[in-house]
Amino acid sequence: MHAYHYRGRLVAACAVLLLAGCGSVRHATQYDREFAAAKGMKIEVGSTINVTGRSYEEDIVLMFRDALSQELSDRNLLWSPTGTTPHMVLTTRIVEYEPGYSLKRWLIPGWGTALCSVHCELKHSDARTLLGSIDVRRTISIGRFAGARAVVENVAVDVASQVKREIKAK
Amino acid sequence: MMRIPYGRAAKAASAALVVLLLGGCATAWEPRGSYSRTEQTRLAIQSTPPAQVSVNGKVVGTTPATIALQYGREVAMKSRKIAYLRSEPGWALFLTGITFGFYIPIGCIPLDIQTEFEPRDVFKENVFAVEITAEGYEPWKQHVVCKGEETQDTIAILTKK
Repeated sequence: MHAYHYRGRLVAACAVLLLAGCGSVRHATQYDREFAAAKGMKIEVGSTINVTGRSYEEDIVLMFRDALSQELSDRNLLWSPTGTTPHMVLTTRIVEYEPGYSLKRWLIPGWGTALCSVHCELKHSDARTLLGSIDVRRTISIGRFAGARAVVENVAVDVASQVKREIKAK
Repeated sequence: MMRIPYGRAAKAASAALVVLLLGGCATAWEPRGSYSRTEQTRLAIQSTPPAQVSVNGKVVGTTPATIALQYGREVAMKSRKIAYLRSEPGWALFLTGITFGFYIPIGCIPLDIQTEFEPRDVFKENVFAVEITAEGYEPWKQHVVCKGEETQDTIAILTKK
């Protein structure tokens, strides 16, 4: 009777894990020791370049730019072109990307992994001084449908969160 | 009664499995190209007497000054396929547990991707023409080469005309 009781919960937990998807995340940030963001300083989404050396069915550059703009906007950090105050510019290089394959991830965890890795640089808009860099790598290796878009959006969330955390700390 | 000699085969299979688990399964590293990232070196300039500083023909301040010099650095990428037991041991052990050990041989197959980034000593636009000028003194010029250092110091002593 106890086995049946726990088996149902275990199946439910596995179903949730598979639908949500599981993977790994890695962050690395480096900021100039004299980095001091002025209060209320906003961020412009600068150039985003695909340096993977490969082309994909989906436009990953546009996907990432849209996701990053949305995340910065949600955190009240997105710069508006109508503003005249100095701001920061966040440029991105997409260094690694694999769209993965949903069916493979559902069949064998670790197979068909979706991954996205970016190198972002934060610069001052006027002086063009390098204020800091952020490296993020995310994978979805178990379950999840639409992993390609999800992994790119999750990386954008990570980048925006890291920037927000650093600005708040200063 | 005939005894089935499975003892040695089972031991050999277990030993092979242990070797696989300990060594892990991975393919050879493959180069994946490179990209350029921005490096920054802070150049601290002092001069006698205090004077105007120009970098690559553009006035940037007066001494003593600390100037941020930016340039490109090549970063090489290489990747390989790696067993999930090595890349994500926690998740692999969890899957092994809920599948009662069935996942172990699957977890040894190199399916996941591992990537490494190696900054190279290859730089782009890392030579800066620094010029210090003051009225009544000969201009002081020097080419500063940056190679990924956090800081560099320069002291200029100007000579009168």
